[in-house]
Amino acid sequence: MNYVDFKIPTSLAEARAILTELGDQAMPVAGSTLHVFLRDESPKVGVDISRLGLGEIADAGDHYAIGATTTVADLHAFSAPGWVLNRVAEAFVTQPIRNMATVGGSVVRVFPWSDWPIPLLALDAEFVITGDQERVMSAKDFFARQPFHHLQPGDILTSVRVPKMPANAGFGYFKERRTTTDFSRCTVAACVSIEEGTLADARIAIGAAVPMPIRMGAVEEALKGAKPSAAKIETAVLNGLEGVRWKGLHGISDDYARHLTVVRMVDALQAACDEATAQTGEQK
Amino acid sequence: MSKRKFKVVNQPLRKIDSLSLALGKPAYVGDLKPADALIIKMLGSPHAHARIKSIDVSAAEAMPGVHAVLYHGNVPRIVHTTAGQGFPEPSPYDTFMFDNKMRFVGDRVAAVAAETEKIALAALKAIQVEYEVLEPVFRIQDAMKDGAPVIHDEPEAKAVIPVPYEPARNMAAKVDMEIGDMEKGLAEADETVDHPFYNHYAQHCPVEPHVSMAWLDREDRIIITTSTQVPFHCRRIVAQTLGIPVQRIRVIKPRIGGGFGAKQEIVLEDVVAMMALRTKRPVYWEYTREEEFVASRTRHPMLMRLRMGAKKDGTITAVGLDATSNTGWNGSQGLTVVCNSGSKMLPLYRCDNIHFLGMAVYTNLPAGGAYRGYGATQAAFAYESAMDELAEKIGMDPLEFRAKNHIKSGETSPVFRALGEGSEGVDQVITSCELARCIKAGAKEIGWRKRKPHTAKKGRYRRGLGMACLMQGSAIPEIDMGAATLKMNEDGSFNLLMGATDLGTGSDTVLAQIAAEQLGTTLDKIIVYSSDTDMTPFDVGAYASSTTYLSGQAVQNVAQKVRKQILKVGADMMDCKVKELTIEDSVVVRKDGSEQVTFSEIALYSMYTANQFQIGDISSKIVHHSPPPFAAHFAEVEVDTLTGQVRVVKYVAAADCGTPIHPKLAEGQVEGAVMNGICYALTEEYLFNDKGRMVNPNFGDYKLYTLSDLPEMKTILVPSYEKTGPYGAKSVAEIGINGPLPAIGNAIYNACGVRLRTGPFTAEKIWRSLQAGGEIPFEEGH
Amino acid sequence: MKKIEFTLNGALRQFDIEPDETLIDLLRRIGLTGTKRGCDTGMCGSCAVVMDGRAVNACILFAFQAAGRTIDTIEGVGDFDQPHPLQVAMADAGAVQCGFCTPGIVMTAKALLDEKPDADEEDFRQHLDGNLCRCTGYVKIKEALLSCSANATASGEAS
Repeated sequence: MNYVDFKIPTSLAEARAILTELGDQAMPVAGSTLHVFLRDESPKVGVDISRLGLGEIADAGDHYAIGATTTVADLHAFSAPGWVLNRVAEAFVTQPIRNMATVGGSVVRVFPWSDWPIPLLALDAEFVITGDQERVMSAKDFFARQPFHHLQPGDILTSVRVPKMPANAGFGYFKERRTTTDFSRCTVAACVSIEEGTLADARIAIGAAVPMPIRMGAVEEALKGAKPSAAKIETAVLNGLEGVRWKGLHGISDDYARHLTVVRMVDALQAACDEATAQTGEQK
Repeated sequence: MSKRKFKVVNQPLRKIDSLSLALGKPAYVGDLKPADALIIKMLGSPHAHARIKSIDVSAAEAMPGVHAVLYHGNVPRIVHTTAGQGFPEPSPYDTFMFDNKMRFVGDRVAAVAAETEKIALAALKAIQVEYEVLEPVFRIQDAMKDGAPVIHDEPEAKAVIPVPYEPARNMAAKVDMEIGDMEKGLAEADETVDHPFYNHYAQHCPVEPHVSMAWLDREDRIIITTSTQVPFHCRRIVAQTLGIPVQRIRVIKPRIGGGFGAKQEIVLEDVVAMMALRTKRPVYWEYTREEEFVASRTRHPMLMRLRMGAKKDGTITAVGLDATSNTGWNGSQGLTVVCNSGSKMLPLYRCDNIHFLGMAVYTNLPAGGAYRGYGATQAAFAYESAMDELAEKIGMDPLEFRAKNHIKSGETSPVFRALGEGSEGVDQVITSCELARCIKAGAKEIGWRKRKPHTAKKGRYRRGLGMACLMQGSAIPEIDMGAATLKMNEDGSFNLLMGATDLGTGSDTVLAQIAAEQLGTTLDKIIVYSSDTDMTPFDVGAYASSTTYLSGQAVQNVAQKVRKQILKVGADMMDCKVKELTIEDSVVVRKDGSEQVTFSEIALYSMYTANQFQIGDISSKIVHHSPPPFAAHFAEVEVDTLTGQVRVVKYVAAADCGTPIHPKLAEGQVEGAVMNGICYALTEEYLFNDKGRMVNPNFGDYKLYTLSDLPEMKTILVPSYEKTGPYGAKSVAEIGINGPLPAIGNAIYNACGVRLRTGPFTAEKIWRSLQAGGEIPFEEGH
Repeated sequence: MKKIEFTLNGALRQFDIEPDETLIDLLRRIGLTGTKRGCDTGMCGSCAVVMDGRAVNACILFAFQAAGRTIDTIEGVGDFDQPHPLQVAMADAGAVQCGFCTPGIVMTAKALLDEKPDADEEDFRQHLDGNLCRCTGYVKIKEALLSCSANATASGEAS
């Protein structure tokens, strides 16, 4: 990046004032771990937004409110009922990157291999943007296009709300990679809840093998109300692929990207069902 | 020399530079950069094959802070090779400091030296270039076709030793050798195999990229400090390339951050030297990681055909290996790498009928160079995969098949004489070989007895066992030379000055151990200074698994001479005969225990008291043998048959390197090489777009393992005593990298019946092979 | 040039920095060359330093991000007369071959051990996943690190 100046605000109001004033010239900097992927060489003012008090995870009743500059390392270390994002954090690149990368930075600009949008889509997370007013966007809306386009000068993504997983729910997450620190070639997150032996809810999102992360609505619909069997899951996945455009990353073919995602969707749903079943079993 | 108890050699001592490096002391080229150094940046060609029609550097030259711009129009045009090899080099002369022809994406267009990196980069953008784009050629098979674009059409291109060289046909090297009659041998076989194999591109990935700097001293000499494995070849080749005398150049190698062969090459030094002359300022050039991938050197990709026949009883009747390497845009190490594909693997198993055809072919892709394993890696993949396939065909356990056929101590192979490095080789009888014990020890550790055929395996996740046997060499006989100087100081310490080049392996420590053992002193008394062309005697450098074996003998010899001098002075001081004396722990003692003088007393006496002289000497060594180290590698893998993903569960490497002078460092050589080999087998690959541009030149996309990926790894050193080596030692640095490709490939087959002939073994290839019932059609990869 | 200050190896210091200067460039410019540059993209770990107790890649961090924080580099960890146990362990285990990755490994492991003195193998595997070493194959590095855990038994093996 071609920084010609930098600002280090220490309050949200101060940061917003700076960002509003600078407009396009401002580049918010939290962890700075994605800078190497940015090609923009126009003169910018780096605005350090890591000191605005947005680095905490709060228990907000039915959800956890994650401050946007909470690091991935903190998401990894956090442990509480209904919290599963530690599993996503564990598979996220390297320790020094986990120590710097923030949840906000990981979602405002989506790269083909981005990890975080997928579980946040599957978990029905919400995104709080603080501008002149505060707005809340659903994950589906937020990731419908490059999220930074939602932000006007002066807007800051301040918080991500992640619903707590209910006691009868299970989560399955797979990130397909060659080594532990690889970019994803296929990411799948599934979240199901089981009531009286049937799937009360099923949500599944995929990424990396497709241009932008998406929810797999047809698969979800086919599973709702069904008994969670391996055969049912496989059928639902195979019948729910219509309209998906597959894109193989890092040397894999589109064809294999599709195959891999199908296998991992089944795996993720199965893992989620197994976990939900085990949870409900424990309750009884 | 016989086996005996060692005091310094074969002991668990601390590597002499390891603490200072762990403390982060300034040690590497980049740490020594003068504050006022100009920064060099290179403009790379955007085209794989093109000719510069016009170039205008005037705007760049005029920029404030820019001190010089070099391009083909303002530097000497002197043909040379970038290969850091002995003189005359077996690699063709086909490279210029700058040329008007571009031969790969990233080729040198123009270099800028400026006050800051930012200014240098801005200046590169100000250089106007007009290209005539030429048709590129990327595949070995395409480059060999009649009418293929000619990559080296310049009249200067030539071979400087009498070997076949036909640049008009893109042929950079060729060697053809037959022992017995391969076709007859194949006809006599009960079973035969005939398969293609392809080894892919890979880079050494030293964590420190290539880096060099230069300045003019007060006598106007060029002082080059550089990350090199070959300081003396570097001095010679830079002098040649600039058209100046060797005398005017001093090359210093400080600590270097890994090489693995990549730094056996003159990649930066000609330009930093030229820039120092032009600007009269210190200049500094460090490759980016992307440049390291694209514009330094790589492993030579190789297209192979392996034919083999055996009788039912396990007798091998014929072996034929056709190996054609892609040497890329220049022919550096092209001939010798492919020669080693034959000479370092074909002697491994007894066979009367052997044919070897080796070629190196130019393409418009990154240039191959020296890379740990040096051709043996490529051949081991084909040979050891085929050994497994043939064993299965004759119904013999692959381990038993190898044990029956491998060369043993006291035996020879006609290949040793038939195949050298561009010339005839050197006859040799194997004087140490514990391969049989390596096989036994490794098989036990991996649990070979529980191995079942893949047909007996079911379920999504399937495990398999595979193995491979390996050999390499120890230095290049009758060619490589190393020398060492040793002198004694007042306190009984010694300066050991060597041309030998420690590229991170610990050779400074190993050689100091040899000196200390021979002198009868301790490791801490040896002050090592290595690799400075003004201050140390010549050594070819760190390559060909030579340093311990070759330079070690030079050190042992000079220490032997100095030991004699010490004893002589001791005899004078104690007024007795030398034969009445011995040395114990830095003290010369009379064998009857009546009298003794310390090393320090001896040094002081020889400097200040009587018959004064500097205790010290110099020795050179050229070797007549290249005793192979041997190894047996075993891999256990698990294949996810739904995704094709393969995971190494356990890897066992049993190696015979003679006496390990420093056991931990020897193990470290094996472990590092094996890990590199595992990554090569599974994850490392160059991806090119259709214009020949590498699209994954960074560690995010080009994947190396980290600690988090480390499988269970077990190294077993099986000692032998190599009587021609220093204290029984032979080499260990390269051999380990040759095993993982065939051992893992064989294990994948044993797990799920999939046979892969093109690396790397990606999940997609395995999945496709499973879909195809075991094997996909062969393709020349990247 | 703009002024910032931060605590470097225990001392509060002021620096004039360029807005786009990375932390590694600043550190090396002022002579702290123990922090190595291997990839410049945050993917090799040889530039690891510790910021506010956590290992970070100095090559992708802008110097201004360090303002007001605490930065520890290899130079502040130990010296010949008083090396850190990790430095001794790396040297003695044969875990230092070319040594270029070693300072980054020491810094990353130190950050872990300072937080969790009884770190086990799984902790080391996870925390060291950003440090490339091409020389050792990690076997000796693992041994060295485990020997520094409070969990290590007399034989040097962690339980």
